[in-house]
Amino acid sequence: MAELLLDSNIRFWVFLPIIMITFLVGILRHYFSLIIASQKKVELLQVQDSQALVRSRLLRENGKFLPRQAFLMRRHFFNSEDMGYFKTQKRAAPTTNPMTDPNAMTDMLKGNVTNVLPMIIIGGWINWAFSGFVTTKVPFPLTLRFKPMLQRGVELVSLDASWVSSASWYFLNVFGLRSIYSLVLGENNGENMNCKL
Amino acid sequence: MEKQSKHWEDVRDLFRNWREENCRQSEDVVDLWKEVLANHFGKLGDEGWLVLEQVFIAALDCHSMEIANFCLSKLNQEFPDSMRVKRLKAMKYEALERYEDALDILDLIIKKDETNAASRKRKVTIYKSQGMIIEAVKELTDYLRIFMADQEAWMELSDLYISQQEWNKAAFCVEELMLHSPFNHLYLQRYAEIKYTQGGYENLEIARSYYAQAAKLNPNNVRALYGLLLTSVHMASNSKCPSQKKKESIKLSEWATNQLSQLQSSNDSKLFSSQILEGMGNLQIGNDSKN
Repeated sequence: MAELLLDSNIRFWVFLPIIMITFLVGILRHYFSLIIASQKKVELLQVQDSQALVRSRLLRENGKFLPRQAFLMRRHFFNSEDMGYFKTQKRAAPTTNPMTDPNAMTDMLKGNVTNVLPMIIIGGWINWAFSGFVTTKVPFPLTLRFKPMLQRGVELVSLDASWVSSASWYFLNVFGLRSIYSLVLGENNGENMNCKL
Repeated sequence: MEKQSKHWEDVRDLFRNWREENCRQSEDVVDLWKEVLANHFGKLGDEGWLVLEQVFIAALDCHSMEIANFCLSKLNQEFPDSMRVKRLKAMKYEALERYEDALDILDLIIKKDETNAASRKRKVTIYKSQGMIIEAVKELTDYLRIFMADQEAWMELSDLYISQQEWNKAAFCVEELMLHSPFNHLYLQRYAEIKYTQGGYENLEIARSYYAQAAKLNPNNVRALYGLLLTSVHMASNSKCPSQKKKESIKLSEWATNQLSQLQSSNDSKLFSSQILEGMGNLQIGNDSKN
């Protein structure tokens, strides 16, 4: 397939703006998710359990530095059949089903709304605004199956599938810039797509 | 005086350093605050609240009540419902020796938020400052039943037990600390000292091995070296000691003596004298009742 020469205006007015738009919208999403995030309330029992787990882990890892009797004493505290901490403490089984737990439900909803909705809206706008031309060429060859997906506005049978439209460049940016967000915004930012979509 | 010419930004950075390193230079903090930062408080922004808390605690240490009250009223204005500010108020009552009021406030905080660890710890300090060590110990053990991974608390409990001469329980606390940082030579040395104080052949053995580990991790730890010397000498002279261990102990004591004399010659200090070293070897534990 012959090399296409793209108008350099595309570089200035499409390629770079899409990057900027994606980046800035991502930052906005991050701050938005911070604002609407709900305060986590911890229960005393949870704290106690987490501390007990830390202590038992330390015992497991560093127990060899203690005298024998001391180690056995602590293991007995945690594991003995009739009095051990891990044997006698009863905990209610946590509701793993997110549908029934209202708190987890609202968190999931917020995650969805914050992440997916802007993506759809802006993706649609870009598709409408920057349609009818190819924006960039991906550096690896693609099969013809990808053509209808990646070349939305451009119906050319003979065009290489590597040439993609602006909408696909936008989606590429959305997923690609997430690592840049962790550089800029620090860890645990609103872009973490850990939500169970 | 150099302090007058200190720019307020330098003072602010200094305070930040002290906050991060947990230094307790209370008099310096109060002096610097009075001279420099009090006039520039508005420029500190969000960091100003942290500085106020720092100055408040320093003022309580120096018993400058007006500064403390000023800081507290400003914090109260900005954060009226805050648990943290209430806790500072309880500290003020504690400094004024109004212990019942302080305890009331802390109990209120704990009732509202059961997971608030800092308030529980302040209760312990109130008992400790009144000299009611037994109540302090009880409160701290209850705290540790819930928050069992709190190193600071275990450290405090071990100190309380040592002051009460409950060696077994103090050793338990230091064991917890050793689980957290097994390569900290200071914890090892502290544990060895407790075991050595308890006395008896088995404890001497344990003490010797922990002193040895501490000395191995830090050959400049003079206390560990002296401890090693003493324990190995006493083990060697003990009737219960099998001959192989006796040889081990004698070798260890010689190594410790060498290390100490090396340190002494490199330090060139009058505190070390070779006579002390020789004298140490001749020390006897008289009338071992636990043997």
